[in-house]
Amino acid sequence: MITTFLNSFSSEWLKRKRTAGAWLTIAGGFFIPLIILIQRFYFSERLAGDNASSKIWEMLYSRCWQGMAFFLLPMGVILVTTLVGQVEYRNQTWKQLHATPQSPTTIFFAKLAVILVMLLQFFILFNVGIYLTGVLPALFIKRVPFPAEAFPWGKFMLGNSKFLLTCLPVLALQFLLSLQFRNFMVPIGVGLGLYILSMMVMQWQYAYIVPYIYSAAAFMKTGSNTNIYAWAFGYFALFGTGSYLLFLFKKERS
Amino acid sequence: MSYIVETKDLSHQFRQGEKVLDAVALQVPAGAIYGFLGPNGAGKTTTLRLLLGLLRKQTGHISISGQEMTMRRHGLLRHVGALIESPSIYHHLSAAENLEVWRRLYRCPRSRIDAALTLTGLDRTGSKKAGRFSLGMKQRLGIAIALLHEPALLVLDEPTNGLDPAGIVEMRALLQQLNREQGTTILISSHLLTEIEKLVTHIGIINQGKLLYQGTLAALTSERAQAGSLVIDCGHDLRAAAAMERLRLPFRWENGQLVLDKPGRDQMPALFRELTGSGIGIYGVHTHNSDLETIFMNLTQTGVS
Repeated sequence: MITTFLNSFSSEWLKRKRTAGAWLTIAGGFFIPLIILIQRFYFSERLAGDNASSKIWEMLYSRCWQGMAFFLLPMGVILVTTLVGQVEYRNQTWKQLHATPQSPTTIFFAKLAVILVMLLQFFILFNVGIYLTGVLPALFIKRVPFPAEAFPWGKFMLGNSKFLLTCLPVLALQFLLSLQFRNFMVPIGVGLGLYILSMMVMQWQYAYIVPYIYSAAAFMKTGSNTNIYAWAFGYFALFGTGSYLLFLFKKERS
Repeated sequence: MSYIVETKDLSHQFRQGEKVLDAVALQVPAGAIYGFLGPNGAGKTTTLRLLLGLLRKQTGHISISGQEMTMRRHGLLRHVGALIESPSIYHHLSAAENLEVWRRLYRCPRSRIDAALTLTGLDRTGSKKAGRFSLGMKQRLGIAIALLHEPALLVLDEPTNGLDPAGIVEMRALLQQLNREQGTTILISSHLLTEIEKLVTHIGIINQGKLLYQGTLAALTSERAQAGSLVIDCGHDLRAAAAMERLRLPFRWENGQLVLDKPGRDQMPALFRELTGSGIGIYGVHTHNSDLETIFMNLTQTGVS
């Protein structure tokens, strides 16, 4: 059972090689840290003071996550999940995949696992990027010291885990749509629509019911009375279960 | 006789009242090359999809190697290779990478990738992406995927689609080689009747969801040869009709030629004696050969087995 799953995962992992989804994960992870780094070099007079600050990492973390939480993370998850989820439709390979000695359950969870690992990869690269924005100026400019504050692993891990949780509903719903609809525009259209909706209703008192809002809400720390993480997990469980059942009971596997 | 594929009362309908398959009882003997023929929409692809579990079975039974498909689907699929309609290939990967995707699922040795590529003539494609392959190369890659894990049963739906004449000949040789050397049973559907005739040992003809004929190709041709016709060019001399009536032989006129349902050997001397004795000139005589195309057309147009 586990061997079958691992083989299936390894096969699915190979399929993402050279795809737009794989490149997006790498480029998306480094994009915002690169912008912040360029910005830091542009205002180089502030570099020494900033790096000597005892809150340098919190400052970099906050600046990087601002762009990430509001725009890049939800958009990245929408695009990557749809691209990876639709690889079989795009290549007309569902029929061959379903004729292999593995159950639909294995196929479903192997695909989901690949997307989750890619998301994890994206988070790791993003954090490496944040680290480099702090360290690289010190390597290239003599008068700039290395960050005075030790890298706060614990805080970063906790913060990242929360952001990871907030994007899971997006991932689950995009996964459901990408497995059900042959037309690439359906999951992309629904994803973008829900993202725009979530931005529009951000100030609404019941905005927390929109499943695509949680990354931005986590950054803004709005809705203090509502546990957005519980909502995010609930939506993930709901969409994930729905996606699995729809996939399992599909009449035609092609 | 042992059948590697056997279906009983296999019926399927997509919507209420639209029966695509009607009690199909397919029997593919082990070691055979079984040609599955039928016009477009006859139910060939639906049958093959049901065999592979790509469609949810509604009624009937499907067994592979004597075991019920629904009970042991995953175990049985390990011994089945398939190419259904268009080849299933990942266009952003090379031929070898495509095979690696499937190799990991079938858990066969890495050496099988080179073997399958060599067998299908794709061993020199290197890192070229499959999306840049010609239609024929894609089709051959589809075949390579199907036979990667050395299956006991190959299910091929229109495998010669997109192949040029040389490719078709190569494909035929490859399938015959697999069947002869590895004992692979091949279930192949095709519209190319002349190709099928050169390849298969057994045949099944389906039309409007019903299996009209099933058996060896030799038995079908010999059976239908009896029912061939004799065509006599007698310059549309209407006296020939009277001669046939005297001999009580059923006949018809086609393009000014006298056509008789093949008379028995012992009737021939009397037939020609009567015609020449009546002063009718005979300018040519030939028989209508019962090739597979004729048989197929007769069966699918009349619906009689």
